[in-house]
Amino acid sequence: MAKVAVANLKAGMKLLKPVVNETGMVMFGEGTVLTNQMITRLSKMNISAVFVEGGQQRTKTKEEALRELEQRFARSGENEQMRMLKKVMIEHIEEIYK
Amino acid sequence: MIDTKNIRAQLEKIDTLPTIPGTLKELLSVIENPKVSLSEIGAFISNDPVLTSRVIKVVNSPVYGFPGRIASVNQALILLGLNVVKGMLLGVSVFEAMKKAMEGLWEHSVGCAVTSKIIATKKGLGDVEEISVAGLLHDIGKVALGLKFVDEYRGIIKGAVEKNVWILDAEKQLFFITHADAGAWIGRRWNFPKGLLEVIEYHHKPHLSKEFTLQTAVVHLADILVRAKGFGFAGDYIIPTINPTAWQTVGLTEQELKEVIAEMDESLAESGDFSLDDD
Repeated sequence: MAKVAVANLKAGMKLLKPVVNETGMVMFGEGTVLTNQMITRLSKMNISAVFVEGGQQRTKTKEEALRELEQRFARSGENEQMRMLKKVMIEHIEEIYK
Repeated sequence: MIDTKNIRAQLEKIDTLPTIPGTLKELLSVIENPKVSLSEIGAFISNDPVLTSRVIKVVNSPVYGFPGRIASVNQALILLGLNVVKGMLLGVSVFEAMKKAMEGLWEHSVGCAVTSKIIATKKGLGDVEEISVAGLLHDIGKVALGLKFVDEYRGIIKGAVEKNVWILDAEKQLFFITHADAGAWIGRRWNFPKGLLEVIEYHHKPHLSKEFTLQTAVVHLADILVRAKGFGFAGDYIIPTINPTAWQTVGLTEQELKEVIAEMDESLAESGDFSLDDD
């Protein structure tokens, strides 16, 4: 499941969660396939992002993500906090690729 | 060749550069006045339709994330208060300059603002918006250096990337000062709010911060988390080391750090292309 900024929505995307307005009324139900008109309406509402199917297209594999992380940390200083940060980041990647 | 002795003097005169937009010059003269009132600032913004639309955009962006849409400048000013408004106006006014100075710096800055907000909210801090705006502007010294010393600064970034050194060290080598010094100078020159000034000056040396230790520590950490995520570009590919004193000041547990990183994913995706380009 991924949240996509309203500005990045494209016609044909399918809502994974209903969109409600400020008063809690459902504007677009779960499973709605968005049209350009709906996207225009969404952009006028107080909503920054919505949940759509396959929103966050994974551009890299888990291995790539981990390798890049390793490279980013390669030249940073070593201390207790940095070790914790790296560990937490690795766990986070493992988690989202589950 | 750069005359390092005069760097400060040159930076403090940055408002005379032809590349600085007129609105920013006017805005600086408004901010500079310590007695300026919210209503004067309101009038200043309202006189400028581009600035008005940007202010509305930014207060409704993930940088602030207020519940409910803010539709008017006055409403925004009342919600945010003088210090935050000053910082936010600087943010929206340096947007182009930031993009010009360094590709990816705007994204890095928005990322820091959003992450500072997440950390501050998690720790239940009172001045969340002020911390967020400090996150947005912490690297303003890079903008100043990049605008004033265009070719030299480009060279610094190129060198930092190619030789894999920290931008801060590359700056010291050429200028004998860093973007934190540069930012603090111009910030003092224009009477930036004190908390903002400390964050700008000490975000890489958070243990030296005196009055706004917590704000400075939060932005220091946010800066590192955004780089650890690989979001945006801040001039090099090195993650600065977390300062243990700052870490203690913020007081995140491992579990809280985990939550912050997960929340960043969502907020950074939303802010990913949050831009102030005028449509």
